[in-house]
Amino acid sequence: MRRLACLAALAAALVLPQSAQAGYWVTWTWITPGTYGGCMWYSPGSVCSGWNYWYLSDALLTGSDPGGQQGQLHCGFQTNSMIRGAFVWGPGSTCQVYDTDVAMGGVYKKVSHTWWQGASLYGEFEGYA
Amino acid sequence: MNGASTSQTRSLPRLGGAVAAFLVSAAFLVWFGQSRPAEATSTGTAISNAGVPVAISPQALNALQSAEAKSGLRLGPPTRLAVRNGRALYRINGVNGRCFAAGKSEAANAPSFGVLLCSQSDTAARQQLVDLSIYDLTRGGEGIRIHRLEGVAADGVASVGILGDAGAIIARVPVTRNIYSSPTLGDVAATGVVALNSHGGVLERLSYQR
Repeated sequence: MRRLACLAALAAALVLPQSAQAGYWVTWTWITPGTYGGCMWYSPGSVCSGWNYWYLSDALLTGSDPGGQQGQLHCGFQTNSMIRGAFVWGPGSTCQVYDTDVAMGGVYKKVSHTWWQGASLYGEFEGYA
Repeated sequence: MNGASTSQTRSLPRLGGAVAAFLVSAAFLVWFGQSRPAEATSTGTAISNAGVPVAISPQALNALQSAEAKSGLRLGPPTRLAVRNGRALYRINGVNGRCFAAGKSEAANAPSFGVLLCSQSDTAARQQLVDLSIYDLTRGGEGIRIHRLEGVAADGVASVGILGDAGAIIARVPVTRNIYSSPTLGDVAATGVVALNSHGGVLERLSYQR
């Protein structure tokens, strides 16, 4: 019994540190000026992940409304006090922003994608932790 | 990018640097040789700076494969356009689009991308500026601010102007070999950037005011 407990503890020690950090968030959705998608203080036109130590904010923009028009997305991260990231125009584009490159490495935060102006945007919005 | 590729990113840096670089370069050559066109073609607005070829890091390979898988872009190998202010800027041409990236320059010989923006040909064809800058908003703050200014400009863009609250140009940054970057403009309130020709005429205005 004691041997089994030791093995279980060893297995937990090997598995838990990775599973506690690993995370993936994805949503396919429209982002319009009226979208409210789980963000904090800066939420109009935004979709956000839950809280985690996300290291990558990733988006693929595939559609717009009105069709044929361009919209602008802010692609990055959000904390209780700040959003930070890069702008990309879509559809027909992708963005990837890494947290360590925007001075947010190791920060507990949300992945944040915010429609900024122009046409509403449809796409795949992802986060990796 | 899937779970497998994510774990690849995490495990490879644990190998010795030389071994990892060799393995990734070999993997990239196989990947590039199997699925790439014989010669990547530049698309969109002309950018004469072709850059210099660079090796590719596991992280950059992962980022490019992810962009390809999602968007259907068929990309060639990255080239380094410049190193400015501790940052390296990269170009990745493709047959149906292109990408630009920036990252810390200490990784310039094995690029590690901090920001990667890709666009298909029809979008790229309209771009005078590919703004790789980072912008932020703080809660209770007055508006958007530039955290870091850098990007790629098309031929004919002589400088990039920073737009203030009233929409007027409050600062100018020269464009050299298609690159603009400023070590001093970080954390400045701004509502956008404009591409300017040698006479100060506006070629493109990117407004970030909501």
